[in-house]
Amino acid sequence: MKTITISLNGREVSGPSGTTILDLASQVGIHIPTLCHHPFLKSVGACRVCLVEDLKTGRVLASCVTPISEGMEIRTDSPAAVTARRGVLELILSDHPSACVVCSKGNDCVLRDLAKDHGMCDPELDPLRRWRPTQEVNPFIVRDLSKCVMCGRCIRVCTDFEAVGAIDYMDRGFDSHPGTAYGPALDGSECTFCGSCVALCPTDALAERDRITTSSGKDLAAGVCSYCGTGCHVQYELVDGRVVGARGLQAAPMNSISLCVRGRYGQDALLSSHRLTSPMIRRADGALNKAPWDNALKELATRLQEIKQRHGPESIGVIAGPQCANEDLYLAVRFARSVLGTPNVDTTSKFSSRPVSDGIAAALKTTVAGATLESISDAETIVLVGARPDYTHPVVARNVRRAVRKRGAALIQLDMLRTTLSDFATLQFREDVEQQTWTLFQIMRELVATRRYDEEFLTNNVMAAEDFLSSLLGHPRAQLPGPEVKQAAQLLSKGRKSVFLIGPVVARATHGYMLTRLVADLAFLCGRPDSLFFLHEGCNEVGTLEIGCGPNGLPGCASSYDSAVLEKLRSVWGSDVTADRGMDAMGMIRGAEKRTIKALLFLGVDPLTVLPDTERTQKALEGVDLVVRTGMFAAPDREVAHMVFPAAALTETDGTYINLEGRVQRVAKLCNPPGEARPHARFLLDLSGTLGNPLGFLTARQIFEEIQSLSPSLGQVSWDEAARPGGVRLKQGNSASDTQNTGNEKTRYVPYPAPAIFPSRPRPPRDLPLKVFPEEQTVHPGDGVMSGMSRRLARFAKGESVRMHPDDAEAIKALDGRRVALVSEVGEAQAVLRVDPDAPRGGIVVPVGGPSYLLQRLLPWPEEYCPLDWDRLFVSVTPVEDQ
Amino acid sequence: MTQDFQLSALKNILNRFEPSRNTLIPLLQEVQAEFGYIPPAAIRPVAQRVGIFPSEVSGVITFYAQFYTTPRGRNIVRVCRGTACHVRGARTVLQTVERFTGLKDGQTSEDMRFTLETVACLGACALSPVMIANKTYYGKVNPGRIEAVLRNLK
Repeated sequence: MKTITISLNGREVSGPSGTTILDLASQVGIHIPTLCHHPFLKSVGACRVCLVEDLKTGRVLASCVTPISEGMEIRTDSPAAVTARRGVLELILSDHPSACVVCSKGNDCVLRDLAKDHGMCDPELDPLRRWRPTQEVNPFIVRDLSKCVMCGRCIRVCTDFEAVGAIDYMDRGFDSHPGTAYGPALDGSECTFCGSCVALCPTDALAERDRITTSSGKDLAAGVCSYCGTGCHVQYELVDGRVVGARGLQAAPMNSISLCVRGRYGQDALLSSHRLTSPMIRRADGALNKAPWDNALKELATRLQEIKQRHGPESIGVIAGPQCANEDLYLAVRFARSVLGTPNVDTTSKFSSRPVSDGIAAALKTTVAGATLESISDAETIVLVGARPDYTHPVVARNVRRAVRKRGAALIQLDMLRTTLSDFATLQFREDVEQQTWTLFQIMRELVATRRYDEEFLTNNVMAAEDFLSSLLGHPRAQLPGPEVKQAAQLLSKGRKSVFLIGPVVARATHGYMLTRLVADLAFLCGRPDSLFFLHEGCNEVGTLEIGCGPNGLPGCASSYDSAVLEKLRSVWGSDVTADRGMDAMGMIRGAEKRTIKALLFLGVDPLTVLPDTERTQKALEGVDLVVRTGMFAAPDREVAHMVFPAAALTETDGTYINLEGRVQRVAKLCNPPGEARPHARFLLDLSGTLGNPLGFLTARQIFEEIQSLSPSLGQVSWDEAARPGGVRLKQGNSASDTQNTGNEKTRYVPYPAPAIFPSRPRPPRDLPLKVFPEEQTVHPGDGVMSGMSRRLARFAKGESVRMHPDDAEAIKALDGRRVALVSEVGEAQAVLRVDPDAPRGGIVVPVGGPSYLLQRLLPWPEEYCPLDWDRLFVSVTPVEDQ
Repeated sequence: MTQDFQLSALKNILNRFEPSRNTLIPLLQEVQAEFGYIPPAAIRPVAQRVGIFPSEVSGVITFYAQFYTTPRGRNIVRVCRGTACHVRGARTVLQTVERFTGLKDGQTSEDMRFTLETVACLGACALSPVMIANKTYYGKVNPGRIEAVLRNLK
């Protein structure tokens, strides 16, 4: 590229052609004031504050949009430039309220800064003010258009950066303002309430609503968001040791300055008045009473020892949640397998991930995606299989939208439901999981038949590639492909940058494993196994896999039968290790029902929010001698535990977490937990100490170092580097499930031959005619416990509703907005009905998770050793008569 | 029924234009010619066709005075309020039209018979005071003539 030299404030400086004056100036350390400019956004020269003078021509130029040209003689401080700039500021200030003293933007205001730097106060111009009332329409954002300077940062970040495009300039001249397509309110527009517009607003025109303090948080501390598996880096704003706000960070690779509605506005849950602050013990009369830690621990230890002596250690089970840090999970395993001596240790993350993580481990021999989430923004074709990142992982959805809008990528959606991403889709297969297996097969067959697949990759890297190909081509049920399959195959041709996202819908399906393997096969055919992502829901779900927190895993390996690992564990733990295959989480609940499990310890799990068939589970748990749970929040209406211990949040303890692309991120303690709440790890350490078995850890780092000595993948992660934004990525081929890797590159990838018979859609039983289509909610991710405690998110959710197609609703004479009763094989639940032409026929769309856990009440227990099966959930729906 | 009919008419228009953002304004003009205004329900399909966000389409519609998002009357009466017309009695012209139609500037009658608008200058100052009804110019008007013109518009 051509280099151009100009004179800038008397200095000779040069840069490649196309560089703007402003960029060049900032590179050489010359400051030019700006207002509408933002390094992440395309410059538009809206505000004219960055004016500079070209002495050669005498022209005054907006430096943010003027590229350098040969022979320019730019002065940033010439009288003409300064006068012009002051004039611009004067005009902006003339219709801006002089209310800085009471403005909550305070010292963060860019306009006030500029006025101060230029020694300007009240404008001399006759003010032409636009007095407009402040607008508080939604729970998250306050808008005061009288403070708007029309810089367009909000519009650009919405359109270009988030690729949502909810707002643009409306009207003309003095009346122009940022607005939505259909009216003033963001509700009902495409807005996702990511809050990036608020974060970038230079004045107080857009502000966060219901902050607990009006001051801007001066202390910023780095942390991770705990709402989903994306693991966004968050800068927490602290005031007096309390989290009052959350911001993104440019340097963070997975989210940059973006956060989602949960990450930005849902952190108010940390200050909820429902936080547990002291241990609680259930007394004989059934009431939960506060107790000091020491007494509670002593009582727990005594009761655990009693149960162990009387019924043996196998009668005790430990179940951890996917929000626990690696250190918590590791201690849970060590506590169970060495202190208690029980193999029954598991996580609830299995409920939302098992078939898929098993499938990925079998096909790719890894738990960790090879590519980064950023690479999705550069993709040319994106395939969503049961993935609804717009609801489950909004920051990943941003990358998808960006690829489609900015790069012209094709989006292929395989999903029974229409989601907000459907508007961006090139092709949509609105199909059940069963039909999706067939569609994927047809696409693959078409790819092979038209020789559009990556032959070289297949022969070099995939085991038994010939057999796999012939299982596609020689399939007895092969049909002529339809136009959509043909188009899909074209979009996935070799050489295109394709990305595959598998979502939690697949993990909850009967044929989730098969579907996962078929998606992996498709990725092999495209030569892009690295670009296969599973959207883990829990913020440390990958950690549960890496740590081996499961009934048949051990830290550092995938199988509890590996004798070398056992030997090592014995020497590190200095005790015997119970290496038997234990019960999984559902197995323990079954055990509780059969009265073989006598004590259950839930770490960061509120059992009735994740376990199926609330009624049966509750009955099973009521028969257990001792149920203990640690958690952040009180839940009096669904409390089944005999003892509840208050837990610290992610921001209140040291710990490491692994996101869905395998980034190990360390969070240092930012603030104190409320009351006497302690981290899960501390609870386990204190409990082992009380049991007469002190484990000797003082810090999270010591625990992490012990994990490192056992786990080859985490062993390479530096404690210090893990605290950087984005942390340290686990290397592929090194993670826990890779121990089965033979080392032969050729056999690394294992294809799944096309099944001879494809699964068919299950038939509804006669008395339960409607199939349930679970739909994740943006505001209540995962178990929805923490989000349910966020006042703003709860207010935004506006109560739960189920959706039905007008034809189905008419058939049962149900009306929009009225309550309906859903009856399944095992339970009953009520909710408000929305009649929606977008809902699939023959079914009912039911929200996943909180606040009323409708699905948990309807869902039967799965078959033994099977994952939760949401595909076989049928209900009958009847309108509820008004009382 | 009307909704379905409108949708198919809209689809016909959309299909006549290239899927490019350059065609946005001619496309909107065509939509307005078909329906008399731009139905809000058309914003999303138009945006999808030309490959931009609905808000961007709305931004363009609200920017230009030529686009309307509410239905307009069968007869559009524009009264000039330019300087030349003003000195020759444009106020009386406007009052006469207002009285006859019962409308204020920018309003449309409930029976959809009239839409009344004022214009800064029609460029026909030699004929002032001027009024336009639909596409016909009426120069040097007086109240009696105005009422005669309006009575004939059904």
